[in-house]
Amino acid sequence: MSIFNKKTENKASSDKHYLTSKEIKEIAKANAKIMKDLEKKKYRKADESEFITSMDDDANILEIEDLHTYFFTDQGIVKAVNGVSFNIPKGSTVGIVGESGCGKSVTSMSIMRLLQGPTGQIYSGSIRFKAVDYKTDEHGNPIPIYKKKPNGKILFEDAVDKDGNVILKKDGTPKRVPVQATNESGALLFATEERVYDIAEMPMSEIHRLRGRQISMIFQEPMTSLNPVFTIGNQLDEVVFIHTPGATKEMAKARSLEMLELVGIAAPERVYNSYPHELSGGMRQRVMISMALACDPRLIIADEPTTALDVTIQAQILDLLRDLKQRIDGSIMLITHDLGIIAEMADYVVVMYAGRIIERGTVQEIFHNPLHPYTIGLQKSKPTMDSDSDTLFNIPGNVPNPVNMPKHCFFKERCSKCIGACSGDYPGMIQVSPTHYVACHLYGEEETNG
Amino acid sequence: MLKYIIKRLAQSILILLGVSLIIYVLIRCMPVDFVTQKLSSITTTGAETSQELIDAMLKQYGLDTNIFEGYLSWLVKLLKLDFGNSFKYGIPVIEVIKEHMGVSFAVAAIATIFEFLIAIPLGVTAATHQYSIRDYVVTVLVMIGISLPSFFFGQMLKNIFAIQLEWFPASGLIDASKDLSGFALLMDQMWHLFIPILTVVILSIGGRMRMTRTNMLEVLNSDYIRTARAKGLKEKVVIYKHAFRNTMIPLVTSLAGLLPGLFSGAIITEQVFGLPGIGNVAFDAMLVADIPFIMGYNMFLALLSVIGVLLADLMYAVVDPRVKLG
Repeated sequence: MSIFNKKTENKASSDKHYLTSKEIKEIAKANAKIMKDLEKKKYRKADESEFITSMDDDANILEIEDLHTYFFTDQGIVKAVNGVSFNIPKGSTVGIVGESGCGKSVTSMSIMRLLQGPTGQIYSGSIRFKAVDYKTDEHGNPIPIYKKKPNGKILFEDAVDKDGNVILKKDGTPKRVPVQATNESGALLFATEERVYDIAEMPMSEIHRLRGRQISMIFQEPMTSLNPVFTIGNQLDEVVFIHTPGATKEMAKARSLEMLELVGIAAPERVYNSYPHELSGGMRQRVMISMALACDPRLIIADEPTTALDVTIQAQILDLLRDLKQRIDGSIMLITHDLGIIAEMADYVVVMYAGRIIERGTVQEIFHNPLHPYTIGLQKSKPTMDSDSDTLFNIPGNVPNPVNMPKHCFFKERCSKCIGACSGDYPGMIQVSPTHYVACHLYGEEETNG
Repeated sequence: MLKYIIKRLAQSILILLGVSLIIYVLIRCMPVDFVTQKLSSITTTGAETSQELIDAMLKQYGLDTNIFEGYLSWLVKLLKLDFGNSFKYGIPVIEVIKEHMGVSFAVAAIATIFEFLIAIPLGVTAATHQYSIRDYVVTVLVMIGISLPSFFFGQMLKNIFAIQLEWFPASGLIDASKDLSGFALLMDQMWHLFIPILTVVILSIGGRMRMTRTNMLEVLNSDYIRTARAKGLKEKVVIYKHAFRNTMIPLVTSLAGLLPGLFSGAIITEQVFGLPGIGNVAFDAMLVADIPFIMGYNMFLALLSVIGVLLADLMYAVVDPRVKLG
């Protein structure tokens, strides 16, 4: 009888942290259906018109709107990114901060569409990215740009076959073909145009248009992010090969060596022929950066690029990133939990907590006028030189269970400034200045959809 | 590199000596020796045996010595590259092995080629489509393959294809009713070997496929695969260039067992299909305690194993640049 009592007692408690196998089965069954539909959508054949859209604001290079990225586990749906919206203006650096597991990396993985399927899926929302893509003719082939004579007419030359012999027409005169223009490294040029893609709607078969060429990513683990069985040269050349039409081996190598030199590697030729295990962590991260920059991407996502490195190398890598951003005129999305790096690098800051954005604004606003109690707590928990306290400030409590998120503000249990309204619905984004938004009940009721 | 190989070969000699000692001791410890068996077959016909005859026969086969004297005399003979005459067949051991090796090798080599050609792509698709219907179907089918014992499955295939449908010959290697030569003979032999090879292939696919699948899954979850995808590579290139090279590394280890496996013969399959292969012969030799043949056969396999391990180690350095030999 006592066993029975215990069972009913457990069932009665609403705060249970285990699931019966029956419940797990039910969850798995429900998830399987959703995952199947989402996977189908991911691998569907789609016409271009389905994922071409337009930007809300033309000054932005990336606009994320109400992004939901979920992980369908047998314990329930983990809403890793739960309604995130922010923009990356062209040429700026946007820093994303937040503690481990708040959805920073998952947001970046969603942009790259690198989520591990079938569990990880973009559930809804849009990620609009302004890409520069090749113009195509009616057959889907890229349109070449031809060399022009000083008088503006297209330059022609004799057509040559593979062995270098001039191809003759039927009447014996050499066949004439227009000369395609090349850039300084010898790559063939094609006409390009700006096009806005909704990354969340793109099928996986189209995603290679963006990855590596338009958006590239620097990962946080340089030690394991390079393939151990291929040389650095092989892995670098590959990027140039796939994204440059008409690239030759020599061109790819020249470009790779140039990139290695650009990221401050002293002996590029030696590194080019090395295997990853022969390089140090800092060197590998430089190689990763050179790989990410090889095709002059418009957006670089740096996912904690310096976390695995020691402090001196950290500073070098950050300087390098800043320099390179200027040089290729790109934008950077910098993910980190180091506020110092944000203060130094970023123009705009997005603060995330438990899958949602709780505050965003310019770097001055976030550092000099933090509004959300979590942001204030983060600032306070940063070690400073002039404090004479022995202990570091910490925010009490833990992040709520990601499977069963509460209805009210996710930070309520840990917040020191709780008011009555906090027990109500999750607060909306409140605009406090043209660029500063906060999701907290402390700051008025004036809600916007920003 | 050369120095490493020479060092390893020198070590192998010690290993082979140890192996030979263990095998010799084990055979001599068998409860029945060759002479007793031979004599018991004589006595069943009603003939009388005397102690003198037994002693003479023991002396003739070199079984009158104790284990260590016997081992030493075997070793001394071996130094002259003489494996001795088989008790059972009365001809040199090398000759017996040579005669029966061909069939076993043909079965094993063809089966191994098909095993790799089928199992590796299956493992790759199962891994890249993890938890899909394709994965489940492949996994269940190969599990059935692993679980079936060869004497049952071989017999079943023989029953269906050879006896009921009469598509293939039921046993043996040569069709006695035809007088074939050259290419026609070869084709006829291949025809006889079809079901034995099919049996071996189906039974061996499972292990290799599961190994490929597990390795592939592990590799596909690694950071460098994510990097490769982030570069913009097509999924095919990611899998067949970046992931596959890394999947190969553990597969190379299995090379060590492959080499002796090619020559050892499949005892049970050869029994089921009545093939005159080396496995069958070795089994018969074992029953009558044919010491020179068992020693010769096992030393041959031991040598191949040692060479196989050495080759696997050398291959390791080829497929994985992190491995340095020395």
